[in-house]
Amino acid sequence: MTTSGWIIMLASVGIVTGVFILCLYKVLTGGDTAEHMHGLEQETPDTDESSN
Amino acid sequence: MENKEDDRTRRMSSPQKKEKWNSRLGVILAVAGSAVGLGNFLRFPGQAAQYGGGAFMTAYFISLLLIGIPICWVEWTLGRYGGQRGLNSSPGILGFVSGHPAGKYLGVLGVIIPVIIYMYYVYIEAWCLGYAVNFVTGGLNLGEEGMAVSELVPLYGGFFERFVGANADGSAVGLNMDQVGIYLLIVFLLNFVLIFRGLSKGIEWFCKYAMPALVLLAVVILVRVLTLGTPDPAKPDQNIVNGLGYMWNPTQVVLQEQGDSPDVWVDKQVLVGADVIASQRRAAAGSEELRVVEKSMFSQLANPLLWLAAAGQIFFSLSVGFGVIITYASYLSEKDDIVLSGLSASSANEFCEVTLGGLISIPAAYVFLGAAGVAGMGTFGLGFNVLPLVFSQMPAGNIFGAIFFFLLFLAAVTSSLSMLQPGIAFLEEVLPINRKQSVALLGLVTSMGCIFIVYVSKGVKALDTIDFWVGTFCLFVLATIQVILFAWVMGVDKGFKEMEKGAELKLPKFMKWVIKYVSPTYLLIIFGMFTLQNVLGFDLQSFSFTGEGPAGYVKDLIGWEGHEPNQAARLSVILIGVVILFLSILVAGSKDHLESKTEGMEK
Repeated sequence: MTTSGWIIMLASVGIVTGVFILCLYKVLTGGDTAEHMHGLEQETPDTDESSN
Repeated sequence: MENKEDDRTRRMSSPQKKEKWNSRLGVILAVAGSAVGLGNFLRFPGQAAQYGGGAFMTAYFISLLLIGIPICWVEWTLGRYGGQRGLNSSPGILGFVSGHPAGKYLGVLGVIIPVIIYMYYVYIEAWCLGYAVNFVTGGLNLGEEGMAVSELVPLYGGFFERFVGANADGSAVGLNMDQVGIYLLIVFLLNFVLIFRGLSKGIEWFCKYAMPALVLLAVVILVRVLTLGTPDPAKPDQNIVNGLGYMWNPTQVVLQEQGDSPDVWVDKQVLVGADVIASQRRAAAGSEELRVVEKSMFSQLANPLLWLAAAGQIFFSLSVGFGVIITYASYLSEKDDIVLSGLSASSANEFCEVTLGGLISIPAAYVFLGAAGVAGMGTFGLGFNVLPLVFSQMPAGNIFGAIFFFLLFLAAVTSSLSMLQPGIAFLEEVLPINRKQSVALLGLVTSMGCIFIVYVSKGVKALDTIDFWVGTFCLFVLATIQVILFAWVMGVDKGFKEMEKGAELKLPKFMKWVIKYVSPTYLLIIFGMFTLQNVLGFDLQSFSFTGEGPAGYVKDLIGWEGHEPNQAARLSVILIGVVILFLSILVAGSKDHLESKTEGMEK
């Protein structure tokens, strides 16, 4: 493997891993929204148990 | 009749349980799970190695920034925007955003694509499960002790052909351990049990366990591969460092042989390792028919095929233009941060692709088979012929083989689950039925399509044809429609305002310019190149028509001089047409319902 090969590999792997870890950190430490979604107040014929 | 109308009205107007995600992490894992699939571990490394690691990665990252992430954000925004108005399906959302009836019919693509891809994707998913089971049971210990690798290659190729029924139509249908039938039943059932449980209790619940498990299993395989060293001392060049070099070196050293005329040289083999290069240079020096050349990173970047491959990989890998993200995002509210969620899901996919996929498949295959054994292998060839053979050669190969194919299976399940939700959302939206009834109806439609694809298994022709026309061609079309609608119909200023609602990260202003001008232009150029090459038979390298007529996928349908039409390909396209017709009729019949949902709402 050439030196430029090592550089390309480490840079590619480093960039995507770094961004992934940063995003994960932001999501996991993002306050109350990290744990609970707000959902929607919408009406759809969805999981309507009563209609079964 | 009146009762039916009353019942329908009651269903539509009564407050009902609504679908929603349970946590931000859950939706990110679900979207990432949708994107992470076989392509991350098999297609990406093959493409990167073929086009030279450094050059390919340059085009890959440019495509990620110009079309991948921007179009992801567009889909998240359109999805949530529609969801705020009670719409969860692409036809509903695109119809509303476009403000024109044609938008609904164009949006049908967002249902057709995932539903039809599901029909063949579960077939491939069943291969992964079957291979994992056969590694555990020893069914993939082919050949005899001491056999050369070259003698084992046809045995593993033969197993694959028997397993998937590539030898003859109908031969995959069976319930033996070395036939795909039994595994197909299991994965079909698993998918529908999970989708039946709903968005948060089914998809989100499964992805929350499956995605971390997948990453953990991939790390186990990665450690095994990176510690392979030089397994065969008789072949010192086939070591893990050269394997990584084969995948990542930006400058390719290639052995070429003379073609039909003195000016034409054809690539024979990529050379890696100082000793190999030196010995091949010596051999070439004494031959007029061989030569060794170096292809620099910049000369490789001048190849339009490399850009097409890199952009295509980004496109398919992130599941943009798939119809899934738009539906998943429709279950979010304005308070949810879709900028961060979109970026997180994309980065999770990239981590699995570049960091895990990029360091596993090709280096492992190179170590055992060398450059000649790896070159030119497509996704299926690498995954189901080469890698099973590679694992069989490793110490404790049965365990690592089972782990690898189980991780592919998990990746496939998280993807196939996502393909069902757009169909469920669509049926719930256009018909007066609830989720469970939608699941039953979708199960019927997809199982009929799946039976066709599995039965017409000779040469895997039906799968290949449908994958090309729906899984590739239609993706470009839908993504182009979405980005144009967002940037030019909805308006990029309004679109950004929608996107940034609830967002912690504020996007830089130049992203508006990127999404309005650069992404559509880049996408149209790539789509144009793809169509020229793969539909019209244009040679992008020589920039001329080959004179041999259209590409093979078109010849299969219309026939050409010396090329008989293929009945399996024709039947596959008829299947696609029937599904399009079926869904379009549903859209046409639901006109009042879809429009009543958004009546009076400002577009």
